[in-house]
Amino acid sequence: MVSAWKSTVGRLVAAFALSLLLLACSAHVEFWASPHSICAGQPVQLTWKVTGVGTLTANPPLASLASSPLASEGRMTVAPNESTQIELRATRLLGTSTSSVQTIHVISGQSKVEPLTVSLADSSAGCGGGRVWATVRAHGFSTAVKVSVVATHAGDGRTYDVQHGATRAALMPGTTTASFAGLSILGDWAISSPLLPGEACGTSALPRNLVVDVYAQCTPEGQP
Amino acid sequence: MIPSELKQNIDTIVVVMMENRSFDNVLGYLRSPAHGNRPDVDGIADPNDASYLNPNGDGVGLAPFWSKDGPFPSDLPHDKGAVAMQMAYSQVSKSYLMNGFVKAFENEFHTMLDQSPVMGLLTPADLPTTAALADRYTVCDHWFACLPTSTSPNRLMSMCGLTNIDETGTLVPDQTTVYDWLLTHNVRWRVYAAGLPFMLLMPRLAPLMLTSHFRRLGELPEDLSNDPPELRPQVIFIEPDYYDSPVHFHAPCDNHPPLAMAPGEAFLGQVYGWLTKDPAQWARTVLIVTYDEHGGFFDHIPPHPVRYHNPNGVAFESTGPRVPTIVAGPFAQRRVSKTVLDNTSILQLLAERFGAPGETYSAEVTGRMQQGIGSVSAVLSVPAANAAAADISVTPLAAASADADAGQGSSVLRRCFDSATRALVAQHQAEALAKYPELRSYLPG
Repeated sequence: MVSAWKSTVGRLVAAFALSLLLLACSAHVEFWASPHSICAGQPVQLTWKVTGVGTLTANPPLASLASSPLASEGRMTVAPNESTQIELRATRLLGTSTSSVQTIHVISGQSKVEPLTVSLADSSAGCGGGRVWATVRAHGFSTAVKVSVVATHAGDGRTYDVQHGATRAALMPGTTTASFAGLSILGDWAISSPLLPGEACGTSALPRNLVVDVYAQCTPEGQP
Repeated sequence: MIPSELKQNIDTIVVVMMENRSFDNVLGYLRSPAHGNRPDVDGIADPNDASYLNPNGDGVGLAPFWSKDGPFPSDLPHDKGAVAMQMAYSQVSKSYLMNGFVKAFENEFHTMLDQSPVMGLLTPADLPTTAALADRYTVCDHWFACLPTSTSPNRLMSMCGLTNIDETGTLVPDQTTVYDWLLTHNVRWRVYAAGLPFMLLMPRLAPLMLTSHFRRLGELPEDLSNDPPELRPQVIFIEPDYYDSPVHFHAPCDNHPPLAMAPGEAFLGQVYGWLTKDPAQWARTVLIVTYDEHGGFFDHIPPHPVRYHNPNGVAFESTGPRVPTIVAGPFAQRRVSKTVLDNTSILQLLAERFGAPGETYSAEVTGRMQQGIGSVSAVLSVPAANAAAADISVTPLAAASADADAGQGSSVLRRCFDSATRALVAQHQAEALAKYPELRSYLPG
């Protein structure tokens, strides 16, 4: 009887010790901001799931983050007026900590160049009929962030055919197009390009990425 | 050098294996007109080249960038799954695109930055030792990590020519090592370790650590001065103080993120200074400074196709990404070597120098050679006549503070070191503490 009791206590102590160990060692932080690129004052949703005690800080500071420490899971909306980095730091039982950082871009004044890039390792990529193609899924932009112009990336000698929504345009090396002006950047950009001399499907001569530079801007209500 | 030239000219082969940096992260600057201006090196000429862009989760390409040395917030992803994502095999081009480094980082840390630390490129201003060595000796710009995975399998490949694990776990399996090969071939060898040696993790070898084959780093200069020629080691492995070790004899200096490079640069500079102090000894020495694997850092050159399948289920179809390697010594010219090499190339060099005529290191190493991996002997040449030592001035490596292990997380490798150290002290208490008094915290009670 005493032996059984001791065994039970032993198991409980072991379980407690194991729990403490797991609490001390686990290093789990999930933290996401969406969208990452906004116009000034637009809402950004922060979502997190952490073990330990989580705290949020921003640089430059955001007054709306003063409510830390956080529940282990949650969401919060912030509305930055300037670009900021938000860090979620989870501190565990023995004082060790893990952090995750999300960068929020507030687009203002001059347009910001976003090299929309898709790897030919992406599942959307293909090659045939003398062309190579893939689709960039432009996540992370608020719908209010608009295109001013689209250009080829510096030094890129390819010709592109670009489709975004219902709009389609050809882009020669070193040129820009205003065909997409005023459209939201968010969403799929289907990009294809004729093969260059020496390139062939199924070979390493193909480019690694398809890239177009999209200039992002925020315009006042009612303007394109 | 052919084997007979190695035997005639080389007395000592010294191997220093650091941790977790890619070629482009450390030596990519050599190609840049602004930093190295060596068009012969396959580094980074222009970080803004579209082919280097690594798309992030939002579909925006991030370029490599010139960065300053400094500690990182954490380690970077480099386990088997992460490396596969980083190398980004394309079914469309049937090749590795080397553009998944940012995504692997974001997946691991849920961190989205404009300048992802995995894309950082160091400059010579932060590399006083490495840059000086690269400017004096042979830079190997096609030296790859043996396997596209993490530390333990790659170190096993480096020290055994094979691995029975494909991922770093809490145990390093017992395998026949280069130490066994050297003992069998009556070659004098030593390990000089700045901290706990890596092979402590292999239970069979732990007692060997307590023999005179394993010495503390600080004993190296005295041994180099005092050992008579007939007792001098012919092969020397010099190990940094590993970041993942739970006990430090010096400041950790293996260059493993989150560590900065500065302590490792001090370590390398000190070692180089000791090795070159006696011109007569240095005249017959080869120094190889390499890394176990790329550590999660961007590198733009696809891996070399080397099929490695073993009966224990370890299966890879290529090497890992490139690692920065410099072969130094009077027989290593100031040049770049394009020979495809990996850390098993060192084992083959040992076989050519110390083995019987025509002997190869092992069937596994031969298998890699048949798939294009060369020997370090291909880098060396008798007419190199590069005897004058480089002038390297670095701050000496600091001794560890009383408890330098604080706040270093709980990586798998650290737990592995911890249990191996505990076992060593439990089984060989008196000898272990006599040789390594720093392990007293492992005494029971």
